[in-house]
Amino acid sequence: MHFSSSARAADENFDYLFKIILIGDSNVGKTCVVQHFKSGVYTETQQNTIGVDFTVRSLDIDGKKVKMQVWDTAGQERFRTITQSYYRSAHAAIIAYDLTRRSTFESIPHWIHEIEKYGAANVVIMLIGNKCDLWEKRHVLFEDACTLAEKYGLLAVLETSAKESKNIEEVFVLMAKELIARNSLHLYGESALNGLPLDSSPVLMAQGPSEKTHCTC
Amino acid sequence: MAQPILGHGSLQPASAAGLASLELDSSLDQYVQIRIFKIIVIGDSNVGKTCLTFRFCGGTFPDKTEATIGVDFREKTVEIEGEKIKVQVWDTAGQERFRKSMVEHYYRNVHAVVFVYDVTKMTSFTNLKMWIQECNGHAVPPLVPKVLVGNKCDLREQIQVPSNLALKFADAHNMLLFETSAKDPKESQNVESIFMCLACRLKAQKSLLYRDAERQQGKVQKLEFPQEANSKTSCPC
Repeated sequence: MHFSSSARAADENFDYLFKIILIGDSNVGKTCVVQHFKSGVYTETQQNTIGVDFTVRSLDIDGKKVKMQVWDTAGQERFRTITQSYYRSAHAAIIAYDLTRRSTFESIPHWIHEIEKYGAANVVIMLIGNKCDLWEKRHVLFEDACTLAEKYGLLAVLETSAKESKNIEEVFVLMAKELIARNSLHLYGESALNGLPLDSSPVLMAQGPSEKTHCTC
Repeated sequence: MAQPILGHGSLQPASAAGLASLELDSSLDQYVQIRIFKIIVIGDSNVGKTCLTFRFCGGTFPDKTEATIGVDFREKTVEIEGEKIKVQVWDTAGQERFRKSMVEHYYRNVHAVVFVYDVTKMTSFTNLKMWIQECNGHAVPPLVPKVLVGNKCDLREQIQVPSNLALKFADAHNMLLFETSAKDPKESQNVESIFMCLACRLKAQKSLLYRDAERQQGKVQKLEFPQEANSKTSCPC
């Protein structure tokens, strides 16, 4: 376990803990994305506990301490069965494709199907087109990605470059904000996530603004 | 009772020799004795430890299980990146009366620990603190991988331990959480993947060359490696 200290509060005190899985075809740059996210200025820890790359980093979002637990499937593609365990308990999934290789974009529906098959019903899904620094080798138009995201009801599409530090931070901040918003509205509470009885008390300490009311729609 | 002790004793020299040979000269791979990884499965009685180990090693679910007395060994040989590795799963007794004389042997030279709770029984989850304390009390090195498994997730209407609660607990103890069902045949791959993840990690940990090549975190990894070596050399058995 590696821990880097900073002026911020200890890692143990956080308002939200979110598990995010990073999936997609091989060699689209998933590991680079998560490595870059990990190396940000905020407090971070990394746990090489078992055979998945597992990164934890805390973000400060509108005064809330958000701990992001990112599971990277890099290097595990040859073990098909291993990835299935990742989906369970995940709050969100980021599907990565390489915009210089059309085939990795064509695989997106497959990955969405995997999430639907093994993940919870209300997993937030986001799409990232990596390697946008190689603009002259582009084979996937941003418009095409937006069309696909809209078709499947995904949260957003961002084009990223781990190499040029473009949009990496934004991906996780956007995801964190969406998860907080859903949690605050109790759309992503315990009962919805686990199919528990409605009287189950939430575990996440939702501290939305007091003026917000529970959405019943 | 004597038999498992003897069995364990005879395994250690082979494992140590295998590791030494592999690290010294990788060109002798084909002549190296197969490596053995010892993984122990612990947790409250009746959470499904025996069923989990059966599912991993045999792919089936035993119709009726009785309380495990002492320890049951189960083995499965897996191939990871061309290397055959024997995963030796120790299915332990959860009831005090069946385990007190065996506890020391559970933790000796363990490579990984699997903590199991029953998602339909909150007490089995809250008791994890006790199991973790027991593990720490037996000088299991911090680098030994540990995972948390919530079993019986097929009984959806009876779930008492929410995923988020378990996720936070696992995070606080630097463990990864898996939720599964040893009973549901559709979950058999999931059960297998839990042990495969551990085996992959253990293989990576015990191969310095592999670790450097794959992770490029030489400084940190090299610091870890001598610790493990020290841990092994201090083994009294």
